[in-house]
Amino acid sequence: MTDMTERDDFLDFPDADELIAAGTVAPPSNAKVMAVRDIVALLAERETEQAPTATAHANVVPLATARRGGPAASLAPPEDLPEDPLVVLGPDGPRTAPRQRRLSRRGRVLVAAAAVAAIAVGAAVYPVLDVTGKPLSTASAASQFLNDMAKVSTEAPATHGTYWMVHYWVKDGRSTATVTVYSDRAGATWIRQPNGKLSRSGHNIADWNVGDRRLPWTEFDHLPTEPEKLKARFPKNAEERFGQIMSLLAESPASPDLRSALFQIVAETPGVTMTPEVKDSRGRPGTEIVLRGTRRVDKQGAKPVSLPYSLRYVIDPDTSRVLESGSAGANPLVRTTYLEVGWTNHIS
Amino acid sequence: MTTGLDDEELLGRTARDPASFEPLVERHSAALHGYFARRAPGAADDLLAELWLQAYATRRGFDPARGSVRTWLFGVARNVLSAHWRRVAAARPDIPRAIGDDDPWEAVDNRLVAEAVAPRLRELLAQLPSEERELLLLVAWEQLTPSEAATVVGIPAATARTRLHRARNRMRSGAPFDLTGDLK
Repeated sequence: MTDMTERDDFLDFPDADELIAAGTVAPPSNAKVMAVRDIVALLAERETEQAPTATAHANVVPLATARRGGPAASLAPPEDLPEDPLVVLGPDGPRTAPRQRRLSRRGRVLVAAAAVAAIAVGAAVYPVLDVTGKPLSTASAASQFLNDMAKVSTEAPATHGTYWMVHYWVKDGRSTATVTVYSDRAGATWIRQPNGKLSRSGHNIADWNVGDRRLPWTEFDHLPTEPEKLKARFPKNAEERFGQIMSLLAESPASPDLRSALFQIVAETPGVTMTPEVKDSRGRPGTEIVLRGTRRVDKQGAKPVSLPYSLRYVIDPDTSRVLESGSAGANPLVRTTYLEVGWTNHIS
Repeated sequence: MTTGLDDEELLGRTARDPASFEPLVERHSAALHGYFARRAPGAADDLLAELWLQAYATRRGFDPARGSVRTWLFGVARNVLSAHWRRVAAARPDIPRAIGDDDPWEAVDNRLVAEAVAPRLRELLAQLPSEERELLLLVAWEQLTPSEAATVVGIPAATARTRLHRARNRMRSGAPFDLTGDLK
């Protein structure tokens, strides 16, 4: 029996055709495939510095456009831009001889990263840099907005209760679930699961990442509320710091003063953009904050590459509460929508 | 020119000429994108890029004795998909899951619902052990032969055949009007 008739044999059951038909998907656009091919081409080029063999492609990311604030440049934070003058890799670009100025290795990795990001986010990009490399107004507007949120935070009354409650809706591409997490001062945690069952959590989720430490909220009082001092407790890496702080703002019982200081720290993050008057996935109005950048990925047996990331939050401008978190784009990996966050005296 | 070469020749050349890798991207991206789109809709574009970076980085690990380049690429895709779902699960560890952290079944089932597949068929698939289901879907959707599917999953071909045989029998026995073994 040949392999293929064997295949048919294994698919010989009722409604197998229906199953096969249900697997029909649209092919990826040619542009996406070309963009991926160009990433591979760039990686290949890095390995053959002295003997370039790549041929001209019409679809590579035009870097000159990128430098002018187009999609590619907008994906890299200002601090990560290569210092070399960028070279156009477009249809008339240097892939055909003569190769005037080759990109620095770092520059090319960024191009690759930008190309991946271009695939990932499509047209939904936010300019970060203008011609001169100065931040555009969106970035300073984001900073202004986050500083405003610092003020709004201090206006909130400091409240207390027996349990800190985070009631959220999470969507992760496979499934959705509505979960409520309660934690008390002793660090015990209970979870109300989607099926209504209440269970004591196996792991302690009442702790939050602060730098390298896992900090229970009972120790929040020991954290400084002076932004510069507080910032020193968090990672130096902008992405990690931003993520940790936004997580505290979204889910932790930080006091109004602490929240205010946290907002002031994130307000200084370069590359953050803001979009007012958006709606979260539950239709609630808010302001969107996005941090985009690239992170270095080390794969065993290969030279490290940089891949883009994006962190997206929707904040209620009236209360400074985080309404939603996830990555940017139409289909974030994990999206958490906060339905109710605060103190309660009862586990309900 | 590299376009006239087959996959194995191209991959063999990449040691001297890394650019030989590019035609592979053009040849196999549609099938690999389909693999992701069926099991992680929404993340398929990102995973395709990740797959090619991973495949390029580990291309020296390809062993022609163990199967074709195409099969090897599906194996890499399987690892990328698995890592994707593990990452997703790790992002919210407080959510209890009925299935393995890296099992794409829920996403696959959502697709079957969207495609209005008969509930009975979905139920039968849901009841299959995950490794039988994975093999069956690789054969049905990726059009792999049983031995190719075995290589992708990393098990002996004979084991895969046994599991596929069992899966087919389960899919038959659960069907209505099937007391004699005849199909409806």
